[in-house]
Amino acid sequence: MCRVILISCVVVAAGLAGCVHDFEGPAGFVEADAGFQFVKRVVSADGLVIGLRTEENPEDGTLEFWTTAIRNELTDGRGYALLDEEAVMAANGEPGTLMDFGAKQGLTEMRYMTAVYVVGDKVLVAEAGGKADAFAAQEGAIRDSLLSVK
Amino acid sequence: MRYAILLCALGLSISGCVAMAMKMDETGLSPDGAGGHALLATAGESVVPLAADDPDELVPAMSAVQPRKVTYTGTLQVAVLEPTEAVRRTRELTEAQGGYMQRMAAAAIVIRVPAEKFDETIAAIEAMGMVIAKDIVAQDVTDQFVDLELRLRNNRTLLATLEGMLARAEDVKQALEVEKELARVRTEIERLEGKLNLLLNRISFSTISVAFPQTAEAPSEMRVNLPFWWLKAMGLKSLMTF
Repeated sequence: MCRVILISCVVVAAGLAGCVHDFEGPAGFVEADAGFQFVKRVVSADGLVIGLRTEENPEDGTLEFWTTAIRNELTDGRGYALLDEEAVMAANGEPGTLMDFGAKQGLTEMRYMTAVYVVGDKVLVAEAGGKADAFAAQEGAIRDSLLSVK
Repeated sequence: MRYAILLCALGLSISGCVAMAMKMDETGLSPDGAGGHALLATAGESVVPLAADDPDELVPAMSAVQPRKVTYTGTLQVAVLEPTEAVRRTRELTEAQGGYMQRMAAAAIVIRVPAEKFDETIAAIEAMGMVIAKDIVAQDVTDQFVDLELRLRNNRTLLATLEGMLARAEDVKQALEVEKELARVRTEIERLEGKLNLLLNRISFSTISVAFPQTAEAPSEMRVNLPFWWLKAMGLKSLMTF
């Protein structure tokens, strides 16, 4: 009986573990408080932040739907300018969309990059942001991090 | 008595020289043909010393080489999202241009920048936000400058003459009369030098007064909000707040 319970626990734990999504932070970043909105956040010493959020995906929610929703949300009255958009592939093999935005906070130029993936009943959104000059210096590593979602 | 008459005559002669020079200045140095373009073209130019050392040569030499002297003053109103930050940036910009801050408040600043950096500085400040008002004033101070230069030069000539007279004074009374006149001329020279330096500073450094009223965020268009709260939460603010 105990053996059956133990095996059941292992199976459930494995199942739960399979549901936990993650990403690789770039070298030099450290893990920080994820808060209630994110499953993981990492920061660099010069204030760059990368985070991953997982949200419920309603039935029929496609990658195209979420890409459009996020693009419109940020560019329609929020002050973000879409700099670039491309189709990408995450580390887990899921197709996604990578969007690069520019924004101004006061007089400071900022960058914000997000990658969205649809994995079954979840929408995975990896976000990265910070001051434009610091961001540009690590752009390649940040991009790789956003594509490392699994 | 004879010395007193001589001193008066010397003084009158100097005054006459200034008056004559001023008249020459009106006709020779301020041609009506030099319009606004000529003024702008010589903005910020350095002051050229007078060419002739001999007072008799003074007026012809000046009329030949004297460039226009112009002071520039700018007043700007630039609406920005963060006035305090804009004031800080303007101060940094001023120092980078070789200028200095004259007065500063939470949302306003008065700066002085080298005249040759005036246009560049105005453009950089305008780029900080939305220009609501702009007023640039150029004032031709050539006449004022020439007048001061002439008075100063003539007083220096008078000083040298008086010093010569003092050396040749025959008695104490004569010496005292010359000393008294010398003191007056020295004071006048100091006063004129002060005024000339002030004017030179106004020519070399332009004054820019900037007010930074706060602007509201651009109103967003009417739009449909999708029923997914986290879309609203996306962006730099949530990501970078711990």
